[in-house]
Amino acid sequence: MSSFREPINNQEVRKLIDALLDRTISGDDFELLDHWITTNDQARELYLDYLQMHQELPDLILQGQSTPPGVVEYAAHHRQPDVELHERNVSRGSRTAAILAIAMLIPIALFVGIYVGFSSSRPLVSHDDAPHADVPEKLESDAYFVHLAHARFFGELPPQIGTSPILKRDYVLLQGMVELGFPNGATAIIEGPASFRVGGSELLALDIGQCSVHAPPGAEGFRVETPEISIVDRGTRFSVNVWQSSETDIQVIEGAADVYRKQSAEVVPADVATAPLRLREKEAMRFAFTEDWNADHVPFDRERYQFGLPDRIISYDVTQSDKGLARALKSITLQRGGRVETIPMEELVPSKVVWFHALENVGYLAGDKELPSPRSSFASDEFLHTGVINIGGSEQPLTTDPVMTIDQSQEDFGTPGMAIQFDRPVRNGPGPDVVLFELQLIMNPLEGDAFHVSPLKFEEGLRSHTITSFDLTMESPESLYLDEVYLYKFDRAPRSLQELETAPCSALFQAYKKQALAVGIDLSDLGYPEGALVEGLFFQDNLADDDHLDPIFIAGLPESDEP
Amino acid sequence: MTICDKNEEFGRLFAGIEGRLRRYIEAIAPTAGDVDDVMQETAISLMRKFDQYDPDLPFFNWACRFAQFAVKRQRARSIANDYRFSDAAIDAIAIDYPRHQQRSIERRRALSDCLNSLSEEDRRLVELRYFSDETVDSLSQKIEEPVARLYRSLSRIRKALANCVRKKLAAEELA
Repeated sequence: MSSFREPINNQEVRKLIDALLDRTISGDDFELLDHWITTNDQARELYLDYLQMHQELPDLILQGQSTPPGVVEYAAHHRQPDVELHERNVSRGSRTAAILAIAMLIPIALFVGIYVGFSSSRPLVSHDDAPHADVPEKLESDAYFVHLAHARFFGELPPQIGTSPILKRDYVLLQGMVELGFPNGATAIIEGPASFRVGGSELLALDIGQCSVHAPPGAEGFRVETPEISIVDRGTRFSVNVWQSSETDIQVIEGAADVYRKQSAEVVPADVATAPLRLREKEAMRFAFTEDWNADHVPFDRERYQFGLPDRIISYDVTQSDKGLARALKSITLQRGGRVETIPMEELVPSKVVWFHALENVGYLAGDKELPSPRSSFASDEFLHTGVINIGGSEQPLTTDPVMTIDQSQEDFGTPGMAIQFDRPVRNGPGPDVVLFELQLIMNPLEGDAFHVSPLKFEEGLRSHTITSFDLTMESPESLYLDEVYLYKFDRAPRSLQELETAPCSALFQAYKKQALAVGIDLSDLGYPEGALVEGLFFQDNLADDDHLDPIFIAGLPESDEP
Repeated sequence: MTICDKNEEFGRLFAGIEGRLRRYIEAIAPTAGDVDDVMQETAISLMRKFDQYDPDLPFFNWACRFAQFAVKRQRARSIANDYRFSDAAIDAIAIDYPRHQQRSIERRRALSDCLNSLSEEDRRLVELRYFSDETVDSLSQKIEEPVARLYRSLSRIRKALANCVRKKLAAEELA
C-alpha cells in the first residue's frame, strides 16, 4: 500500500484511537480514523501500538495479580490502600490444550464447526443495531437440553436448560453429561468427551463418545447415526459408544434396535448390507471399520447404559436487585435419589457459624455496605451476596476431631477453618443433603474452589471429604451474577469468631463481576450411614492450591418426601 | 499422510496460531461479532485449502491472507459498513502488521515494565478499565469521578504507556 504522507496530527489520531478502544467513537470519527490509517504510516504504527497495548493489558494485569500491587477493588468514597481479595494464579493455556485435545479427538469438519456461536473475544467496538441480513439464520432443532451435569463444551458456555440445540450444528462436549429430549419423547444422555449434533426431530448424530437412548412407546423409529451406521430404535433402551478408532459398540438393555449401514460405508457384511441387523435385549455388538466391515458380538454390559444424570444441584431462584442481579435465595432445584425437586428457602435447614479461624489473607466478610450485628449473620442470612469468606484450611483434610478451643496464653487458636451448626439436625438421605454456595470472581477457578468438609466429631466410619468441583460452575448459565458486594478488609486475620466480630475493618467496593456457584454435599461421602442425623460440619479450604473458598450460604436440605 | 494425520496436523497448526490470528483479525476488523465470524470463516477456508499449504512457509502468514480476505468479504456482504475499515485501510494494516509484529515480544516486555512504573492511582484505573466488569460510565459513578475526566485519564495513561514503550524499544535498539 503506497500511502501519500499527509502530516500526521498526532493528537487527533490518538484521540480517535482512544475513542475506538473505549467504544465511544462516532461514525464520522471512525471514518476519519479509517482515512488516517489508510493514508499515513505513522498513524498506522500508532494504531498498532495502541492496539497491542489494549490486547496485552488484561494479560499483564492478570500476571501482576500475584505480586503487589494487585489492586482490583475501589473504595466507595475515598481511595484506600490496595487490597486483594485473594492472590490467585490463573491457569493458562487450558483453551489451547483443549483445542489440541479436540483436534486429536474429532474430525476436521467439526474443528471448524466449533466457531459457530463461539464468543470469547473482547470487541473494540459494539454496535448492536447494525443489520446482519447476510448472516444465515441458525435454525433451532425441535430437541432441547433437558439437563446438564458438570457439562463443559469446547469453545462455548454450556447451554441453558430448556433451550434447543441448533439444527445440524456440532457440539463438542469435553466433559460431563447432557440429556437431550426429542419431541416424540425419546431422550438421549450423552457423556463427554463426545461430539454430537441434532439432525432432526428423530435423529441424533454421534461422531464420537457415548450416548444412552431411551425411546418410550410412541418414540419407535428414533435414530442414532454414527459416522458409519444408523441405529433405529424399536422401542427400547440402548447405548452407543463410538470409539476414537471409529469402532462402535451397541448394547441393548431393553426391547430391540435395528442397525443399518450408512450409504457411505463401502464394504459391509452381507447381513448388514442387505437387511438391518436386529439386536435384542441383552445383546451387544461391536462394529469395526477398517478395510473390512466387521460386526462381532461382545459381552453384554448393563453398566454401560446411563439411566440418568447424577444427583446434583440443578439451579436456584433468587430475588433480584433493580439491576437484575441476584440477592436473596428463594428456592433450590436439585436432583436427589434420581428425583428432581424444588425446595423453597423456608424449608431449608439454616445454619450458623460457630467456629472461625482464618489464615493470613485480607478480607473475611463480604456483603452490603453496612455491617450487620452479629457480623457472622452474613453467613446465615438468605442473601447470596453476603458471607463469611476466606476461611482457613489445610492441605490435608482432617482425620481427627477439629480442635475448637482457644488457649490464648499459648497462642493456640485451634483448627483453622469454619464450623457451622444446623438449626436442627439434617438427616442423611439419598443424594445431596447439604448445599453450599460460593462467591466466585472472574479470575477464580471456573469449577469453584476446592475445600474439605469434615464431621465435627470423628466417630467410627466417618471421614473427611474433599470437593474439587461445584455442581454449578462459573460456566453454568444457572450460576447467577450477584448484586454489589463490599469486601471488609481486616488489618490482621481473625483467629476466632470473637475477633471476626470485633476486629476493626473497612468496606471496599468490589468492581469485579461475581457469580454464586453451588454444590451439593452428600453426607454419605463423609461416611454417615443412611438416615443418620448430623448437627453440624467443619469446613476447610484446600490449601493445596492458591485459591480460597468463599462460602456465602450453607444450609441443610429437608428430608425427602419420597420413600 | 492420511486424512487423519492431516486433520491432526491442521489442528496442531491452527491451535498454535489461533491467539495471534485473533489479534490480527481484531486489528483489521475492530467490530463486535466480526472477529468470531471471521475466525470461523478463516478456519473453514484454511481447512479447505490445507492441501495447498506449503509447510516450508509460516502457517500464520498463510492464515493471515485468508483472514484478510474473509474480512473484506464480510464487509462486502454487509449492508452497513459503519465501524468497518475500508478495503484500503485493511490492506494498509495488513502490510504493516508483520513488521510491527517482529518486535511484539519486546513491546510486551516493555509494556510490562512501563505498567509497573505507573503511579498507584493510574495503575488502579488501568486495572479497573481492563479487568473489571464495569464500564467507564458505571465506574465513574462508583468512584465518584466525572466520566469525561476518566476518559481523559485513560487517554493520558495510554499515551504515557505508549511513549514509555517506544522509548524502551528505542533504547534497546541503541544498546
